[in-house]
Amino acid sequence: MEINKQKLMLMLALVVTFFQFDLAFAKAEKTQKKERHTIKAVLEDVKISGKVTDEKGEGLPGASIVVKGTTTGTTTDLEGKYSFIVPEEAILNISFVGYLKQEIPVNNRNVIDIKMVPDAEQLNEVVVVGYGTQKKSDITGSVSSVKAETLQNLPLARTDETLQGQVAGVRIQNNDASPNAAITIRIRGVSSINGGNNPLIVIDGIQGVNLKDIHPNDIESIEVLKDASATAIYGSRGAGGVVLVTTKKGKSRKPSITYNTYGSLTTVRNKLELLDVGQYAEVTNANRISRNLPAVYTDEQIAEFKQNGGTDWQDEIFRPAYTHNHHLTISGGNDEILYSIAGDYLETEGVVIGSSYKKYAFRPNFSADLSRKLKFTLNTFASWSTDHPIELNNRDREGSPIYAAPLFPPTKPVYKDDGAYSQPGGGVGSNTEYNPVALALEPVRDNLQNQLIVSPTLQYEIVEGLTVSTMISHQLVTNNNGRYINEKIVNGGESDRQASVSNSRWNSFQNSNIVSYEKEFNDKHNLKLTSVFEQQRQVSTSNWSGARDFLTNAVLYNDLSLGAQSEIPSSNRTEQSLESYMGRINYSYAGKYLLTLTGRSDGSSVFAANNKRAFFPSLALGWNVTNESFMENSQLVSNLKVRASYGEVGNAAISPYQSLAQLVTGSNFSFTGSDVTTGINLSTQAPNPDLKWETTRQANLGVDLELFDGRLSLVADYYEKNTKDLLLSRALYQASGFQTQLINAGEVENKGVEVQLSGNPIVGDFKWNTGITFSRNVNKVISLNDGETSIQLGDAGLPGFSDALWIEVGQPLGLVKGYEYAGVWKSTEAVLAAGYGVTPGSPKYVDQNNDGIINNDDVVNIANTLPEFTFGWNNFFSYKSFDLSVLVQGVQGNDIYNIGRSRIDSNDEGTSIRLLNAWTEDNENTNIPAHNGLGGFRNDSRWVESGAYIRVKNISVGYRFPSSVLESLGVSSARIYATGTNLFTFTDYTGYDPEGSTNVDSRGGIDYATFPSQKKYTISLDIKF
Amino acid sequence: MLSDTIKIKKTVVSLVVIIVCATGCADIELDENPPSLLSPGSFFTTESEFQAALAGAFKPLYSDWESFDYGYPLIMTSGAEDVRSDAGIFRDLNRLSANGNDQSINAVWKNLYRSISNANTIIGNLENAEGIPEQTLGELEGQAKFIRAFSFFFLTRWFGEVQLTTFENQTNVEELRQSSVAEIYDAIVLDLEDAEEKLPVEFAEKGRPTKGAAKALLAKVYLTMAGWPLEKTENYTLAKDKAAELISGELAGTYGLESDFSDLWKEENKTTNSEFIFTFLGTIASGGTPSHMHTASRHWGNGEGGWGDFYSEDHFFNAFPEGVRKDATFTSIFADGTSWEDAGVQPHMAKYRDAGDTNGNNGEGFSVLLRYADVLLIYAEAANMAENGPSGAALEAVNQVRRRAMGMDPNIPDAGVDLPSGMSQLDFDAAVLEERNWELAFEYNRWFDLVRRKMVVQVNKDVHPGVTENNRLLPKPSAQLISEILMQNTGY
Repeated sequence: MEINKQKLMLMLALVVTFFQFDLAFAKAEKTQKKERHTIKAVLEDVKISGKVTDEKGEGLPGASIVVKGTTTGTTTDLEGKYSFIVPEEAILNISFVGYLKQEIPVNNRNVIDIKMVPDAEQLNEVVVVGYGTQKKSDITGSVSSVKAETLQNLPLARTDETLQGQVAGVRIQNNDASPNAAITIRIRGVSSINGGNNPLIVIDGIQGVNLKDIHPNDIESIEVLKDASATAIYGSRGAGGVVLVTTKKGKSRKPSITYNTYGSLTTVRNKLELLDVGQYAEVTNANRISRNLPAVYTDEQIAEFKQNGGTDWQDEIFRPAYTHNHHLTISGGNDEILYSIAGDYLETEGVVIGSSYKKYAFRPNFSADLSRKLKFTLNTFASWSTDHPIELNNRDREGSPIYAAPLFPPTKPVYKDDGAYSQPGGGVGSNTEYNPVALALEPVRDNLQNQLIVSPTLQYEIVEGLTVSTMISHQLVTNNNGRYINEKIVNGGESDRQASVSNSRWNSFQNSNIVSYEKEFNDKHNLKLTSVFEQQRQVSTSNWSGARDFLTNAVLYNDLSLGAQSEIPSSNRTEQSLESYMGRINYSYAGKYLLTLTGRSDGSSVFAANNKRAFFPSLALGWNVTNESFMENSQLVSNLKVRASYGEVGNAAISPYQSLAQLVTGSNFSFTGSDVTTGINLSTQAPNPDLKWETTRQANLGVDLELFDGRLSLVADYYEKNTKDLLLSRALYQASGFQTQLINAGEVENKGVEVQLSGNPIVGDFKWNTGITFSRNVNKVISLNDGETSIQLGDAGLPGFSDALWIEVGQPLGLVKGYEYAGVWKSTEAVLAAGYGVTPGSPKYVDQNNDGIINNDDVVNIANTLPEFTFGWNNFFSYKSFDLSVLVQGVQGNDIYNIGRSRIDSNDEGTSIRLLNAWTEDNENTNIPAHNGLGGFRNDSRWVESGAYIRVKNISVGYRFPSSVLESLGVSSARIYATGTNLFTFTDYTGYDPEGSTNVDSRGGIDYATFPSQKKYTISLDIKF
Repeated sequence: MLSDTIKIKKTVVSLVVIIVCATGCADIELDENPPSLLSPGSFFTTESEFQAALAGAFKPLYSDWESFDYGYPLIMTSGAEDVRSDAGIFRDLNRLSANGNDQSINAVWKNLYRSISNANTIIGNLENAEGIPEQTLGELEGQAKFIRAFSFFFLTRWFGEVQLTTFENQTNVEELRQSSVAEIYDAIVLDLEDAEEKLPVEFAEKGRPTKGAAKALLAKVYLTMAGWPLEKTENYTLAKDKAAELISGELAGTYGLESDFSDLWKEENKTTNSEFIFTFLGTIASGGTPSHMHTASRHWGNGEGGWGDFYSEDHFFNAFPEGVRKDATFTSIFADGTSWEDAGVQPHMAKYRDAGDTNGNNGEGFSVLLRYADVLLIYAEAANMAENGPSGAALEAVNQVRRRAMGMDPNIPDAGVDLPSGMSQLDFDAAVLEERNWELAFEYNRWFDLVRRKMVVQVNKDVHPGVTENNRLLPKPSAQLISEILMQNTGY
């Protein structure tokens, strides 16, 4: 399985030879040039100046002016002006993206104004598609492009979050708002239950990258592939959609230096409303007294609390946090070599004390024209990061401070008189939640990650239109995580000290070989053929070691031998391979009728023995209506295209070896009550030699419309996606010793509409660009295992909610079931209540079948956690040097199961302000049960809340310094801007944030202790030299 | 120009070579060869492999908060007087109203069958053993058969007719019809007879089943077969004789009563006391199987730091004869000095209280499943029934237990404590059953006594009026039922 070394050596040798004669070739050319230049150098130099304008006469900033045959040149300033010294008989080459190149002899002039002519061909935007590019007019699939400017307007150092609200059909959810969070990207809904729904991220052709790790300033463009025509080319990895990222490459010969920096101050967006210390003491006493227990606090104590205040545990663990980022890009080149080198540094404090993240990244990209036909590209990326996370969504002594803070009694101080952390217990508060400050500050968690991507590509044009290229990429991700827990959280001793070290390494090799051929016949028929042979191989290794009972805290996890008791270490290695053949035919007739056919065959090691290879075809048709003669005179419509596609895409959701028969190691047992006998036993998961991928069939109908010369444009799509052969766990009869088997069964449907509307309502000095995205997705489970109408997904994460999450035929994914809460039994209903064995003041649940008992038969669907629709509204205003951008974004129609509230509203350990409104005989009109209510705390609709929100995600005000100021400083442009993020959120949700979710997809919409989202105030500066 | 053309041609040639090479550079292998996983097809040959598999067969019975390490099996005996729980997940069993979705029932069923399927796999692969001495191979087989018999004994006592799986038929359980209780007991007896022959009198590791464990379990099996549902009364003799082998026969002197009853429940004595015959031993060593019974059975308040998942019952406590045994059986005064009455809770269990070193909720506690006092009482009961009245030996057996309970030397008769000679068969039988209830409280005993002696209704009818004779068996897990293959017990 190792890469054949001999072949590698041979290849290296060939590459070297190849470079040698091609460099020789290049050298020869250069020598000739130099000679010519030397002859010309005897001529006089003159200073010339002028202005480069566009077709409307407006100055073109950034146009390149170069003396032909030399590297002497300049670029125009903000007003399109230039001036530099040239040989008097020089010929100027003027170029600007989207315009035809011009060649103008100086002819002894001193002032040369140049008017550029748009390049009709180039204006027709080129869009990156899988394994190639296509003219936008030729695209038949559903592909959304996001331009660099859109991404870079937000002060963010991660690309995933910048896409929020920008692309129809793409939902970005900040379900966890910690500094290095894994936020969720979903394209066109959720289709897999167990196989994952993340889109495939491809950066410069390299598959399997994390969008979080790419700095937005490194990006040239992003394309989101949504329908089967666009994604089938990625076969068994395409079902979740594909995001193609193209990074910036060197463009012009003149070196350009761009520097961006920002600093942000973040604060928690919303605190939970809790009892103050006096109220807490009174409520606790009332609670104990109502249950015939002694009061906890004396009147004197309560008076003292009221006077001196208590501990606001939210204030103790949250802080205003500071983030800053620096990003620098240097790019340039000459006729043969272009480079772009980007580097960035990010330092983020979390709003929870003790959490922070730091990253350095470096992205050098080179390309070299080794000859007129041969091009070499080297894309590289390296990053080093250190994350100090806090524990999330966990309880107890290694729990989350965010979970503990609202539950820990405000009557306790952070530190006791002896300096130790105050402890749980003493008759108030939960016994299993520990001091939140200790939970945040004491555990040491140092997670170091290094990433390295090296990807060389050779591209050769054999004859015009026929190109071959071969790309190799190596990705290496290493993680070194150290963890140390001292005894202070539990106020214990040496035996409570624990440490562990874990290391992992993920290596991915990819080799993609592309042959493409493009030819136009008889001016009408345009044909483009693409074929790919691709291999991928991933190797993951990991190991873990740990110890406890440390005699000192001094060395943390750095010397595990100091732990008196060592833990059993573990290590693991998995390997995964993919071998693929792919073909694509693009045909267009007279630019009007378009056809795309793709097919990909994937052979994957993770597929079971009887199903090693999968085939994914797709077909798409397009009609450029505006190219028809009957549209020629249309003043209104500048572009109209109708698209239709159908195809199959897969999700190779299986982890390595899941289809095989296995023995489970670590099944140890003690025959002595002290030492352990190493054990193995039969896996409880039965093998399945037929296990295969999930298949998504998708049909898409779309229209692209541009009106008023492109001032208003609309892209609308309707799709239907059916995912079958879902990876499901089938329960087996346990007498076999097996409990489950992974099988392919069931079907989930996603139907939806996406609309992307953009326009320039106001042009001129005052400009307004606006864009609206709208996505509606309807999800439904069509079938499950044979004969099965529902599956209990299990635990929602807190005790008492173990049977909340379900998948049910006919319902969408993200279904929560429970009792229907009907408020509190009133005094007047005492007899009825007694029938259910409870008293007035107890919570009342709807007896759905009226049989006089509340049991499993009364459980109904109480929440759907997937949204009905999401939208974004992007605005950009500018007036002279000032600009303003506003992004509004929202989600509607989803429920959140706020089980975190079940703890703060609990009628024995609760802390919520709502408990002041608890039922008493004098306060009948309430939904909050009495302190001594019976039968509370059930899995019920009381904890269901609307997750709908509308949020002003971003407001940014910018100012561009005038060039008159900058010129003297040698700066070509500079902009300063201030941004407010999440300043306004309109929601009824009572938790920290409606985007917060402990889990995602079919287990999503459950919230109990996610990292809260933040308001952010940022000042940024962009400078270009 | 000519040389350029040549160069380009060369370039094309080398490029084609490179592409061909590059595509072949990684030898992609689509078959999976897991480097970190063991395959059942190539295991089970060497002694170490069989030893590891044996540990794996025991593990499901004492791990993961799902078995004897935690409260599920004990709660499945809470229809008796000694054990009580009002916790949501446990109270249906306590109130004799469990259904086939019960969490404890599902977990215990699963783990008993996990142990059985792993034991089956060991037994079925013994023929592939290579280079294992005959003695060792016999010990492996004996231990595997013991644990298989142990698991089936619990299964059939709780659920009646279940599927009798073997290495050969366990891959096809969908067509394996449930066996009659008689067939299941026949298989259990066969396994234990083989185990008793092959196991040594002693293992250095005290948690392994020995010859004595096989005999003690067999005696208990015989006694159970003599009662409901098989009612093979001829087995009283078999039970008497088998128990006698540990008291006065082949293994006399191997086991004996500890002089101080309270010493039995100290973690420090768990491997050294003379009374334990088969015990699950928890450990907090890394990767091991810790006990959780201490946390679960201690009171949640009054400085006890437990969860109070289950406890005993005031009726039982009040009826319990005073003495050192009572003091060591219950926690009636909590850590902060509060009595159970003042704390407003029930008396708690003390037998699982000491877990030695603990790490959070994990401990080094233990659960004793067979001990010498049980054997003495099995002997007394069986002999009285087999011989139509209490013999001197039967009297001595029960009286040893009674003397120790009062803090006396078990071997010195005491008229104030001893059952008198001349008792009727019926009175003696009742006295022994009662003694079992006190002596073996919280030790998975009373419920099964109630079942085999058909007393479930009698004991429960006042507290749980809904009780019927159907309650002798628990409901089988609903999800495991297969039409005409594995059927639900009557009444569920």
